[in-house]
Amino acid sequence: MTTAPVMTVDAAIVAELEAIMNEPGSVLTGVSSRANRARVPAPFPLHRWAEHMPAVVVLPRTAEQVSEIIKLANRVKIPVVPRAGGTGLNDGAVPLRGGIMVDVKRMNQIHEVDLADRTVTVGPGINMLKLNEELKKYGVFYPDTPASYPCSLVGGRIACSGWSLLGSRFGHTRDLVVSFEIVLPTGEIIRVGDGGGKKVRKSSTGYHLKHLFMGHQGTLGIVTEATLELVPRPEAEFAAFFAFDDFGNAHRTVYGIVTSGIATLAGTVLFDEKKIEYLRRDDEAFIPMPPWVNSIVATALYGTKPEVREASKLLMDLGRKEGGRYTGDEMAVGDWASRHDRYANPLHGRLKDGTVAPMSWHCEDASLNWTVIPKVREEWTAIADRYIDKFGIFDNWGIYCYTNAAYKPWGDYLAEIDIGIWEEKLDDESWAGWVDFKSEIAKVSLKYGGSITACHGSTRAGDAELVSEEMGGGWDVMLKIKRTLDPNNIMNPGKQMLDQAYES
Amino acid sequence: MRRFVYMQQYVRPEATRVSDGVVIRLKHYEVDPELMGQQFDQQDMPAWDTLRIVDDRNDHLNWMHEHFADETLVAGQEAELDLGAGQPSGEPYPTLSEVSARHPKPILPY
Ligand SMILES: Cc1cc2nc3c(=O)[nH]c(=O)nc-3n(C[C@H](O)[C@H](O)[C@H](O)COP(=O)(O)OP(=O)(O)OC[C@H]3O[C@@H](n4cnc5c(N)ncnc54)[C@H](O)[C@@H]3O)c2cc1C
Repeated sequence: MTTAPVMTVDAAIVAELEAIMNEPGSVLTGVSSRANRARVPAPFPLHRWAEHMPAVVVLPRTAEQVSEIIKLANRVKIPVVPRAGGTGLNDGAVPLRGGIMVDVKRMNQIHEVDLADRTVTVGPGINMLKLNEELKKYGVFYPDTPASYPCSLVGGRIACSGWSLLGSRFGHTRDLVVSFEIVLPTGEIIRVGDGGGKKVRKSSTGYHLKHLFMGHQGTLGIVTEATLELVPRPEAEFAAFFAFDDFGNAHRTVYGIVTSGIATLAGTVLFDEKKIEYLRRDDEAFIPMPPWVNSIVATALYGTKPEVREASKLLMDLGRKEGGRYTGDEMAVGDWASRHDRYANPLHGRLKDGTVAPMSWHCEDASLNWTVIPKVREEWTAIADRYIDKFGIFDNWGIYCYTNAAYKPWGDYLAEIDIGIWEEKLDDESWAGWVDFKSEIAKVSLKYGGSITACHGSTRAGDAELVSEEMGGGWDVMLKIKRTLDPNNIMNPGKQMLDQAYES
Repeated sequence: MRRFVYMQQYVRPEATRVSDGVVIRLKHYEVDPELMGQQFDQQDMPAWDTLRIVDDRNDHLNWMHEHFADETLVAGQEAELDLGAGQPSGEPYPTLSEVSARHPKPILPY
């Protein structure tokens, strides 16, 4: 049993939604309102846009409204898809079966700043940039800083279990969200944390439900409020980039830096040869590197000024230890800033003959241990070459590996291979080719003991089929949880093969 | 008031080639125009608009720093790229065990 697609809703349902919302302009049925909320920046089958339109869009302001919408959806069996900033890099916010889209952007209030117990409580529709602009006046900071910092929203961060550029110092979304309120797929409103206690960070009461509802991609309910960590605003930042002629030396340099014990180390990024080639030819943050450079290690410190100043000296030595060359102050400052805002990724790539074609960006992410990065890199690059040759609409924009563990910089890495796709050329055959491409990349991550996604989620075709393999025995538990909490398969149906929960 | 002089705005200044597929013009990098035009044309923009976009991007990056810390420190050292690659230390580093990392034996450092 699965939820059937609902591509249009009748006037009676619209009237019920309007009664729940009770605000002009908060129930949208127009084509442009729906079409604009159909896609996300990840590759999208443009030729099948109509299949992904929500039937109706609602813009609630309260948890009670969200609860009423969900109860209605259960009664009439209409799918519900939550959407926050719409920046997700898989298709989490793309409706697979139409239905009601719950756009949380109007739930963007700051409810409370608590400087005594160091939390801020917000609606799910606020973004980190706006939040931190407000927090600055109190000398505190919410350090969830993805490369989509200016445009992704707290609700989406929770539903994707996001990764933060400064996570090795301050933690990632799951570490930074102390507790949150969620409307369950049957309409009940609950609050989840480690245990109870809205502002309690560590508890061993009951099950740790916060983690169950972290990264669920809108398949287990809608987050309506979150209580977030506040850290002292860093006095100083320091970034440095080192260039190498050999990927192995760069890879070893990362190891040296992350195991050095520098407490202010917030993140380290490794760029591979294809990434350097791409930065040389197309990236907005063009880096005029000499031809001998084929990899880069970027790294940054955050903390009090004396701490950062001292640690920076050690970092400069570690960056050079395996043959790295400092790339200069200008790049350190300019390029590090642009890491917080990758929306400037170009909208073009290259065909095999070097000519420019309009392309959009796909970022395939994985969590990988440090030891396997060189092997995975080789295999991912070989896969990309094959698909570029075969279809002529893809371009390899290279690999980044970022420190991935919370509060400690070693062990595993968010590895991503960026692929340009000439979306306008997509048809059923090349879309299927694209899905196979993705799937091959994800299989390599599994082969090397990694996870197929560090922060984007695994809802897309190509990844979704592999979730059960990665989860092993846990997959059955997931299915039982899904069916118990969402008996009518209302919440974001069709994602992650969770329809299997309803098969018997 | 500044006058809009068509020639100044629409006759593009000479570009300097910086690498195989890239030139620099109006303070910013540009894909070599030779490589454009087959799939889609290069946009025809007045100079002031190109400069505005470049300047805005730089302002934006400076503004971005202010979000994360009160002060941005730098090493205050020259770029070393003209020196070519440096010498690696030759110290041993841990390597991947031959056994699949999926059910790995412990990987010991060194
Ligand atoms: C340029 C760029 C750079 C990026 N860099 C990073 C990065 O560094 N780190 C990182 O982690 N991600 C990154 N991303 C991916 C993306 O920004 C994150 O996944 C982000 O968490 C998505 O948030 P959003 O608000 O846009 O959510 P959306 O895309 O709107 O939604 C994402 C998922 O969350 C669900 N959802 C949304 N709101 C709610 C809610 N209130 N309750 C329940 N479910 C909900 C949706 O149904 C969907 O499944 C980047 C994306 C871009 C475009």
